Amino acid sequence: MARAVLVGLLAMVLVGGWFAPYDPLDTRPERAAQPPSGEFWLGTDTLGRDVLSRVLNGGGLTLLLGVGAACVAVICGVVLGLGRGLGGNAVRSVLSVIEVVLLSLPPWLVALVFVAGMGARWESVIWGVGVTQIAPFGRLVGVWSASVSRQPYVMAAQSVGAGRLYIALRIILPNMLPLVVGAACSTLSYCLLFSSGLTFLGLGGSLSSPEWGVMIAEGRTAIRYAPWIALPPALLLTVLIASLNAVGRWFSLRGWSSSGDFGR
Amino acid sequence: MTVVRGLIGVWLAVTVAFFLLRALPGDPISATLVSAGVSASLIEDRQRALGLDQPIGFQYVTYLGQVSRGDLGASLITGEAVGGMMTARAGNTLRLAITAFAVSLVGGVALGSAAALSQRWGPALRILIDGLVAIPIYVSATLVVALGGIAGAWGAVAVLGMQGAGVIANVLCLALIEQSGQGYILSAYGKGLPRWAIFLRHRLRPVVYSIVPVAVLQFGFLLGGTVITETVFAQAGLGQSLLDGVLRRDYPVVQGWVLLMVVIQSGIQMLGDGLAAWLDPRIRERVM
Repeated sequence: MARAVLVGLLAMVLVGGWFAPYDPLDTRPERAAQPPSGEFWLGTDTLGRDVLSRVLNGGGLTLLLGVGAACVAVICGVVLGLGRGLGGNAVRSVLSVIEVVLLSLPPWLVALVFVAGMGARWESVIWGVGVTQIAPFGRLVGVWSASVSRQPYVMAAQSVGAGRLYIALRIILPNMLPLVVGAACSTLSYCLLFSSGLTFLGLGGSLSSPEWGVMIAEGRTAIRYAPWIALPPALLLTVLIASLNAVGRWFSLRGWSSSGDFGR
Repeated sequence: MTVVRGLIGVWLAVTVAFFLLRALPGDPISATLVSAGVSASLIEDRQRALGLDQPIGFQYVTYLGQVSRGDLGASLITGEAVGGMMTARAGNTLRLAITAFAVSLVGGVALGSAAALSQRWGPALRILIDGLVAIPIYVSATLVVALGGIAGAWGAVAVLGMQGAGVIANVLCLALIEQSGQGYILSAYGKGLPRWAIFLRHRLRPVVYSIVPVAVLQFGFLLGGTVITETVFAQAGLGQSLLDGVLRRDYPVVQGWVLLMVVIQSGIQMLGDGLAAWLDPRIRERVM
């Protein structure tokens, strides 16, 4: 059920822009804040832009911010975690210093420093949010890879002379993949929450295309008399995050049951 | 040992924050004075007065010396003492955090138990929990203001309390469902105990430790000052001083915030570890 919802939402976000009935940026003061009608299915916003077209077009950027940040977190986190668990002594100590430094910094500080340093742009939101999640993700991967590396099949691989890198990438990583995917889903949902929060505050800069967080911020001031502006993106974002959480839970459960209980 | 580890953590965070902030392009004096049309020589004078023309290593050592004497410096923009500013802001944040946390805890335990144990309402409540966890804070804030008509501090409490309740209920509900098949539950029913006694002593008591980690995280997050909630409900708290501080390059304010945060976080972490050990005998045995 959650998987179907997630796939449907992703499809809508990815290709929805093609089906938008109007130009999402076309402002027409004379048709501002019209309630939903046959002409404008979800009404128009305070600048007279078609809400449906903006919702269909805006999801892409919202998702891009979340996915970009989650990619930063997952890729760096896997490298950090595997290196910490399986690398040589020098690699281990360097990575653990990096991890300690990253963990010592509060997430909001990191995100704001990126926004302040790179300017209020969507790239800085991706980096700012992604970097805050590297260390937590790396920790999870580290714990799991340490448990997997105690399994007999890893010892078997070692005894036939497999190299460290081979074991890490071809044996340990595939065996904890469902867990990693499950955690990646929850990281993605967290990144979506965080990055759309930053754009809501206006820290994503002036965006050339619509974005759900920005749309909610714009619709918020008009919510009493024109609730149709903020509610559609708000509802879609919430459902997207909830379905991601559910899918992540499903992957994690599968990971636990297929792996016996090495990760507990 | 814990104290030494804690001190190293504090030093590390302060140091990283110190250099990270100075690596940012732009400095506070030029940012505020140039826009006001002040001449270059005046700007240099002002920078000298604040010690910003010194080499960065010298500034760092000076700052560490100040901090070790308990002096957090003064805001570069307003000249206000950071210590006093933090105390004033922290009062606001602390009140908000404690109230919201109490709401989360009570609401979360009630909601989580009901979702796991009620035959009739369970499925609906589980959907509600999923929704509470997933809804972005600024969306619930918008809804609370628009539909509930609750603004100001109580609005912030409602929003943060709902979110925390969702997070706590989620964990508790899973733990209670996992526990359902256990023999000791059946035997408690078999003894003919009243339902409230079964619930409190045999169902809630063994799993209550499971909410400690999320509760600790939640409380820490609340104490850090919540940037979005404070912005929406116009509550000047610690989150606001971080936001303004970073955007205006007000180094001492941000550094003061980081210092306070790291101390608070490690304090709560220790409290949480102690609480978990107290609630769960298995952890107690492992530690001692």
